[in-house]
Amino acid sequence: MESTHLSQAVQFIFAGLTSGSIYALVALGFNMIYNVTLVVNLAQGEFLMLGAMTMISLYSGFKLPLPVALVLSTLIVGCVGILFDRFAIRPLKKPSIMLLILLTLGGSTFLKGVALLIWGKDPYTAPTFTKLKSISFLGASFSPQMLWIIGTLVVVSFVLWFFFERTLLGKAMRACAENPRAASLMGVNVKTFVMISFFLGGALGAVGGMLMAPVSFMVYDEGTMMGLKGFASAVLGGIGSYPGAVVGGLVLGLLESLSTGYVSSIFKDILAFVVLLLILVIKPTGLMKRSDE
Amino acid sequence: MGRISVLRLAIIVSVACCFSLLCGVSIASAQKKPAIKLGVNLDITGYGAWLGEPELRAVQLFAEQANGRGGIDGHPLEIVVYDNESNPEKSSGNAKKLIQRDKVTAIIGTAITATSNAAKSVAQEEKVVTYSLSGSYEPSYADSFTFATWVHTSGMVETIYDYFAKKGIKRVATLCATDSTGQTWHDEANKSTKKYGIEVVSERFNVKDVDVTAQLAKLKANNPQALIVGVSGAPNAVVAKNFNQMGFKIPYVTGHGNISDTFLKLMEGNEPETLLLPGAYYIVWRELPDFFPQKKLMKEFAEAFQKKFKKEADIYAVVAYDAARVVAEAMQQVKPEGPKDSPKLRDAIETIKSYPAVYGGTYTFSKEDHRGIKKDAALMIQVKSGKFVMAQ
Repeated sequence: MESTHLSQAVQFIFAGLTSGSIYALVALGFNMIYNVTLVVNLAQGEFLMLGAMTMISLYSGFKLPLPVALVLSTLIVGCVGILFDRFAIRPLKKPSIMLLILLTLGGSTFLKGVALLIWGKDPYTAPTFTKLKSISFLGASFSPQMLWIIGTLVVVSFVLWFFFERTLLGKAMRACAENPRAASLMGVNVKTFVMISFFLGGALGAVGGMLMAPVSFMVYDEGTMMGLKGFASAVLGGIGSYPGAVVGGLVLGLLESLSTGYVSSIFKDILAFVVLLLILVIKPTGLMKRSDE
Repeated sequence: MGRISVLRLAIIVSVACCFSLLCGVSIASAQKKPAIKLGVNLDITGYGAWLGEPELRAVQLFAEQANGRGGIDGHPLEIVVYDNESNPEKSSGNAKKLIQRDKVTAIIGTAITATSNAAKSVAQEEKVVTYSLSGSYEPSYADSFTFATWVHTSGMVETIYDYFAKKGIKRVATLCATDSTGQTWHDEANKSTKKYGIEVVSERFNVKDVDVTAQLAKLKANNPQALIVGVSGAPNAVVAKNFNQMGFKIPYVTGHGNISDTFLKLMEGNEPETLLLPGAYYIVWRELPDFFPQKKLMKEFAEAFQKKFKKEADIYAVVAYDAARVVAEAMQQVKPEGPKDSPKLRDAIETIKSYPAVYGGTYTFSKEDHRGIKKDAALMIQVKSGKFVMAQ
């Protein structure tokens, strides 16, 4: 059990990237909905929990093949996102930001309650996607699931970038966020795009949850904390910015693991949030957003 | 206006009716001498329900058995049950109601630390014996009316260290949660190291962490021979997964708050090679030799519980059953008539010596010891192919 400084450092970095990637996926979901509707969706963490729980039920309960379970749960939680928009957000006659935030908070409690009824209070866990036990690299060892987590984040980031920068649909969605009235004058159906953004927000949350379940566990109320960490990442990177969400998530994850490694595991959460506050004091718009935007 | 107040009155009356129907379930049997009342304040719903439920059943079983034997010296034992919904506020409210309205002479409960702590001040103010069933609850202060079950965490840690001494383990790593259970484990594990000549390195983690490899990498640098994970429940899954993934082969020891089927299910497929926890003899009663002092007692209880509820009695049912037995034993001497006799009941419990425990071991109480049970009632348990067995 030789352990050098190098292998320790590598272990810290991998630990940070693993949790950071999950935070980033939650942050991407936040931004997805925020950009189109200006709603800070506090139920984003519950989408993550639902994704993980649905996947575990389909895979371990109904014995569906893993890829089918993954795709199905992404779609199901995406649809929960749509329902959330249709029945909670859209019926609002005079939407104000405060009211919308409160609504999503209520939605989060509602989803937790539903999950409690379906899955009970017991924690669940899922097997890793690949059967390999662990991978060694420079004396550090990590779960193969980590490659899945980081790989998925890379792919999702690329797909999102392509969607918003290179496709008409993506550009139209950005237009809705920029100026909904002008967009609708240009023939963009804003309501449809709000629906799509909730679908994508739900789906992104589900992906994060499904990736997370095999490395940790899932209980009906586990989403809230992850939602908070994801929100912190989104703010850190600059709310609304997709590259910002990725950078914010990874920075928060690395902050946590490096302060565990080099300072003290008991102060890890405090340190991470102190640095977060400092960054926001110095650069209130977040890391990846220009202040004139 | 008139109609509204009539409606309001009707609502109040019906709510009050439902309330008294739901809460005050009294189990009494008609006999000549006046009944002795035992209050039960348990977490029957809410997140402590998995503990409260078997505990309530055990007390019900005890009352039935006691009355079958003719009660407490001819007085029938009547239990009054209230659910605190795992809510500290409700717990102290229930305690007050049991004492002031139902005039109970002692209270059994609650199941979890938070609700037990809430009921503590009521017990002290009203001077009524209150017997907590929570594992990490502390009954200690002067002129105490509170009692506790389970071997204290310090005794559990010493049981682990005795086992380590037997195995020649000297370098120990601890990874304890930052919640109250984890804090107790962290403190106790670092306390008795000198006595055992054990060297301890410690790290902490948050129960919401999804990855603890950074902590484990730091611990690994000290080349430990065993790891103690001070946490109850689900976070063990994260630690165990990271532990296996980093190629640790050393024994993995966790707390006595994990002696449950949920824990076994959670660890399925992720068990470290050697998974140990400190526990009570009752957990492995089938393995015990027939000459073991409390084996007969354990067997009788397990079979009676199985027969009545069609369910295996777990260790949580046992602590409740033991608490009821201890209180009833003292009632035999005092024959209390109401809360006013509870100080006498307390004094009577403090004179109980070497009273056999279904838990394993014996209870010996004193003014300073309201737990009554010592380290000799604990032993190391190992998880082998999804079952709790005696550690070798």
